[in-house]
Amino acid sequence: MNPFLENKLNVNRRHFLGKLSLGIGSAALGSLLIPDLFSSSGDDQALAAGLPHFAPKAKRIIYLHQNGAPSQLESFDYKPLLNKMAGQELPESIRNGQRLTGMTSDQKKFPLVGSYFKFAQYGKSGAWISELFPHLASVVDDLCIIKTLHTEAINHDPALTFMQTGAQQGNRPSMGAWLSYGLGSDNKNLPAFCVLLSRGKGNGQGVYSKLWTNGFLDSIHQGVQFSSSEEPVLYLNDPSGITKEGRRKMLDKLSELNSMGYEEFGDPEIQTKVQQYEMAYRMQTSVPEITDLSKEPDHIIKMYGPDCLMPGTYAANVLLARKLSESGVRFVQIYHQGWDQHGNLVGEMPMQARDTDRASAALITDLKQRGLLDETLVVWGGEFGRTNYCQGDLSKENYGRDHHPRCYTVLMAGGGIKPGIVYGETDDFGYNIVKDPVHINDFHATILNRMGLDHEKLTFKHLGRRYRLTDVGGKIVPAILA
Amino acid sequence: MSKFQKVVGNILFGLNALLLFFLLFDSRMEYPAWVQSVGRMHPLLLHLPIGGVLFVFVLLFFKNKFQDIINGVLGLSAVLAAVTAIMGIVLSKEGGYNEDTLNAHRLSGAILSFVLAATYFVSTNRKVLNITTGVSFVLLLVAGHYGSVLTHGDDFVFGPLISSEEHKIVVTDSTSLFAAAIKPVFDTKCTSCHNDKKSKGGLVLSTREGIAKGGEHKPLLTPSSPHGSLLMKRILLPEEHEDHMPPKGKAQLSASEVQLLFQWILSGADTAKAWTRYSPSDSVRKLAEQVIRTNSKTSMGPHYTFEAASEETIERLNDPYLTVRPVALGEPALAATFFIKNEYKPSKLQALSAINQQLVELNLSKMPVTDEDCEVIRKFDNLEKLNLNFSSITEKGLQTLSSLPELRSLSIAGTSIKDLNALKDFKKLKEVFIWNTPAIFVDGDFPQLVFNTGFIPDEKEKLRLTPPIPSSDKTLLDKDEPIVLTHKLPGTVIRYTTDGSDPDSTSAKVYDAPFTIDGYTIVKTRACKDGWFCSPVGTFILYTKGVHPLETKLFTQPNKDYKGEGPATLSNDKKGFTDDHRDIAWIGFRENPMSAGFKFEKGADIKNITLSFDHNTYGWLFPPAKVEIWGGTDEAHLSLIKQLKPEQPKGLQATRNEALVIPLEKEARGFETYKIVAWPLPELPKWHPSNNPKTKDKRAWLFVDEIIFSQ
Repeated sequence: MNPFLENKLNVNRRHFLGKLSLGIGSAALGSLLIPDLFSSSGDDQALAAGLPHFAPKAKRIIYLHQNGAPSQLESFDYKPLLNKMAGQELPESIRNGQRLTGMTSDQKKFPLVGSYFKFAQYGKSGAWISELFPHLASVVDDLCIIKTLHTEAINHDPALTFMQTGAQQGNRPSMGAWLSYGLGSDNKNLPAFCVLLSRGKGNGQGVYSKLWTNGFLDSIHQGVQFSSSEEPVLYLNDPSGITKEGRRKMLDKLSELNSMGYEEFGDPEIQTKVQQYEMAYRMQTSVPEITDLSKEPDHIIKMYGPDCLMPGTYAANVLLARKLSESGVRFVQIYHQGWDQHGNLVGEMPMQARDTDRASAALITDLKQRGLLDETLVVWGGEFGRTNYCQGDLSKENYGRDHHPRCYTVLMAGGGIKPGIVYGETDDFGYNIVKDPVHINDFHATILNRMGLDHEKLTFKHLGRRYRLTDVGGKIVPAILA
Repeated sequence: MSKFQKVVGNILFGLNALLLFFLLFDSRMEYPAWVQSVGRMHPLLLHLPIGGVLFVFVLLFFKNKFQDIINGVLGLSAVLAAVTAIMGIVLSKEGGYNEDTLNAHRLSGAILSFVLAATYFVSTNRKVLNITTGVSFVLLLVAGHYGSVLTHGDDFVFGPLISSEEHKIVVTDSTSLFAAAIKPVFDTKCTSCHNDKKSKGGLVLSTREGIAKGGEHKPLLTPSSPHGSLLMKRILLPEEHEDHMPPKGKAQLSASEVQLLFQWILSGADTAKAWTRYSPSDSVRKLAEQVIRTNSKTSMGPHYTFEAASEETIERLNDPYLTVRPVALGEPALAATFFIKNEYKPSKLQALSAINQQLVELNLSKMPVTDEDCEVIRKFDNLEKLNLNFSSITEKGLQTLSSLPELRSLSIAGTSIKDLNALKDFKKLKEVFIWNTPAIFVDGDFPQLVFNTGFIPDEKEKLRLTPPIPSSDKTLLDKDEPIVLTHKLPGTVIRYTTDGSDPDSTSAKVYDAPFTIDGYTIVKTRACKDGWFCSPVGTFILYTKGVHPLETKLFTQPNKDYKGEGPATLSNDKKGFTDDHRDIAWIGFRENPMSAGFKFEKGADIKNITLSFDHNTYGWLFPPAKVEIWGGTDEAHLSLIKQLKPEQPKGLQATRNEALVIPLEKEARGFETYKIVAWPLPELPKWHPSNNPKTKDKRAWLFVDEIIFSQ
C-alpha cells in the first residue's frame, strides 16, 4: 500500500479525538508539574547571546582553591571549647552517626583537640582569625567569612569535583566552563577560563584536568591550564624561521580547509578548533603583555611577597591571576596543593599558611586599589573541613585531623558580596551547623547570581534533560549579598 | 396549564415584583440583622439557577423533546434566580464593594431574573423559548462575570499568566522603601480584597492614598507606633479571631513580612523615602533588602531608560581588541573595554561616539590614552564608570572629564596626576582610585568623595628575596650550552658557585654573563639587593649530555608498574620529574637489581659514568645500596672494574634528582661494552617513619632516569 495513504488511514477521526484528549491531558499535567512550560521565552536562545540575565554585580571570578581542605579550626572557626576538652572523647550526640573516612573509621577513640594556634578578633565584625593568617586578618573588613559551608562528600576527589562542578561524579562542566558558556569571553585574546596550579610543602592531594573540564558543553569552554614554568603558555612562540606574516597566511589557508571540512561534516568541533587557532594567534601578543612584570611598580612585589618572582609558586600564580582577570578573563581558577593535614598539622599548616596568606590578602588589596574589587569576586576555600577530633597520635605538640563534611569555612570578597561580615554559626564543638547552613548548591547559586545569571535558567540539554550547575538544588543566600 | 405551573407562575410574579421593589428603593432601606444572614447565602444559592439555565440550554438542542423537564427546570431556575437576586441586594448593603461593578452586577442579575420569569411563561413555544433562553444565557455570563470581579477582583482568571510580569519591580537606589518592599507585601497578601474596585471595610491598600486614608475604622496607621496601628493589630490577632487579617484560609503573612511591616511603621511609615536613605544598620532596611532581593531577583541593578543602540552598530564597533557589550540581556546600557596596548588607536575611541548615549562603563586601563582623547570621552553623557589606570592622562584631561554628568567611579591609578583639584567639578562622582599616583590631598578637601590610595609599602619591612633561577628549566644540557641566571626583580646582584659550596653574599662569583658547565654540576645561586634580605641558596642540579651508546640492554626486569620506555629510558636524554613516579622518563627497580648493558664504538674513551636517580626519601626512593661497573669487549667477556657503596641519607631529605658520578681509571676507559648493576636498598633505614612493625614489605626503590657516559 502507498505509505502516504496508509498514514492517512491510520489517523481517522476517532483516533484523532482519542489521541487529542490524551495529548491535551498530558500537556495540562505537564504544565502543572512545570509551571512555566508554556511561558518560557526560549531560554536557550537567550543564552546564546552570552549575556547576563540581569545586571551583574561581579564580572569576573578569581577562585583560590586551597586543595586538600585547610582546617577551619586552625584558621577561621574559633572553638575554645575544644582546647578545654582536649583529649576527651567526641560525644556521640554531636557526631550523630556521621560517616567516617577509611582513615579514621578503625580508630577506637576520637579525642577532641583544640587549635594549637592562637586566635584574635579583627575588624568591624570582630571576626576570630588565627595567628597563621595575619595578612588575611588585615583585610578582614573586605571579607565575607562563611563558616557554614557543607558538603556530602567525605573524600577529596568527590568533594573537589562537587565543589568545582556541582556534582560528585566528574562528568559535568566545571563552574568556569558554565560561566564561559553563560557569559562568553570579554577579551577575545585570552581564554575565558584559565587554570593555574601550585603546590605547597604540606601533604598534598592531586588535581586532575576533569576539574576544569567543559563536560558536555562545547570544548571551547574548557579551562586552559597555564604552565608553572617561566612561559605560562607553552608552544606559543613561533618556531624559528616562521614569521608572523607566514603564520597568518598559514592560519588563513588552514581556516579555509577547515570550513570546507565543516561544510561537509557539520561537526561543531571543527568551528571550535578554528576559533582556538585564532585565539592562540592573538595570544602571541596578549600573553607576553600579561606575564611581563616589568610594568608593575616595585612595591607590588613586596605586596604579594617575593615568592611571586618564582614561577609556579602560589604567590606568582595569584599575581598572574590578577593580571589575567584585569585583562578580562572571566574565571581564573587557582589550585594550591598541600592542605591535607591528617598528621603533623602543627608542622605543616604554618608552612601552607605562610605560602598563601600574604598573596591572598594582596590580591584583595590590589584589586581594590585598581577599582576592580567591586566587579571581581574572590573566593578562598577548600573542598571540606577537618574533624574536631584527632587523627592518629595526639600529643601536646602535634596532632592531625581527618576529613569533615558537615561544616567548613570559605572566604569571599568583592563582586557584590557583603564585606566585613561573618555568616553562619557552628556549634561549640565545631562539628555541626547551628545557624544558616550553606550547601554547595546554594554557594554556586549565589555566585551565579552575582555574575548576573539565574542558576535555574543557565541550562544545557544533554542526554534528554536540562542540566544546571546547581542541578536540582540551590538557593541564593540573600544575607551575604551586598 | 397544570396547577403546578400556575402556582410556580404566581410565585415568580410575586418574587420578581419584590425584586423590582428592592431594586428601586434599595438606597432607602434598612435590614434587620437576620436578613443579613440570609443575604450572605447569595454566593451559595446563585450556583443553582446557573446550573438550571445551562441544563435547559443543552436540552433545547434536542428538538421537541423533554418539554416537561424543560418546564420544571426552567420554573425552578427562575424562582431561585429571583430569590438569589433579592439576597444579592441585601448582601450589597454590607458595603466594601466597588460601586460601578456592583451596579453592573445588580442590574444584570435582576434583568436575568426577569427574563427567566418571562421565559417560563413562554416555555411552550419552542421558537420563542430558544431566543429567550439564549438571552438568559448571555445575561448569565455578564452577571456572573461582574460577580466574580466583586469577589475575586480583576484579572482573577488570567492573573497567573500576567502577574509574574506585572509584579516584577525594578528597584533602583532612589526607589522608595515602600514601593520596593512594603507594597509587594500588600500586593501579594492584601489587595485581592482591598483594592480600588473591591474595598472590603472601605479599605484600599493598592494605592498610597488609600493607605493614608484608611478604612471604615480609620486610621490604618499610626506612624512610629506599630502597636497602636490598626494594621498591626489586625495582623497580630490570633488567626482564629474573627477580625484577624488576612482572613483565615487566605494566604497569611510570613513572620519576616510581619516584622517588616512592624519595623516600617516604627520607622515612621514613610511611603516616599528611598530605601537607600535608611541607615544600612536600620532593621527596616535590612528586612527590606531581603524582600527586594527575593522579589526582584532578576531585575536588580540600574535600569536605564535611554534608547538602545542598534545591533549593527554594536557589532561594527567590536573587534578582537575592543569589546562592546550590553551590561545585561535586554538592557540598552553598554560597557566597552579595550585590550592590547599596541592595538589602541584614538580613532577607535572616536568610533564609540556612535553609542555616546548608551555607554555607561568604559575601561581603558593600560591604554595610551591622552588628554586629547578625553575630549571624546567627555561626550559620553551616561558614563558612570571610567577606568583610566596606567594611561597617559594628566590634570588637563581630568579637567576635561569633569563635565561628565553621570560619572560615579573613576580609576586613575598609576597615572602621573598630582593635582586633584579638578575633582571638585565632577557632579556625581563618588569614588576615586588614586593608588600609585603622586597625588596628595588633604582630608576634608573633597567631602563627597571616597578615595582609595591602596597599598603603601612599609619602608621598614625587609623581606627575603627569592633565589635567582636559570632561565630554562632544562636540566640536561647540550655540550657548551650557556646557562643564563635570572631574577625578576630588577637591580639584584646574583652570585653563584658550581663546586657545590654555598655562595656567600660578598665573595662568591658575581654573575655577569652566561657560563657553561661540564658534566654533572650543582649550581648554587644567591641574590642580594639593598632594602631586602639576601635570598636563600638556590640549588640547581644540571647535567651535560654524554656520548650515546649504540645499544642499550636490560638484563633484569624492572618493576612491572614502572617500566618506563624499556632499556632506551636510560639513554634517551629525558630527565624525570622528581615528584612523578609514573613519568616514563623513570625506570623503577625493587625486586631485582638494575643490570643494564651499553655498547659503544671502538675507542669510545669513556672518562666517567653518571648514574642519575630520584632521591625521594618520603616516597621510599633511595640511592642504590651497591653499584658495580663491568667492562669488556662484549657481553660474554666482562670483568668487574669498579664497585662502590653510595652513602645513604641519614634522615628525611628534600626530594631531588641526584646523581652518582663514577670516574673511570685510565685502564677502564677503552671498553666497548659496559654493564652497570645497581641494587635497591633492601630495607628502609631504621629512622624512616614507615619502618615500623606494621610495614610488611620494607624494601626501598631505585628509580633511574638516565645513565650518562662522558668522554
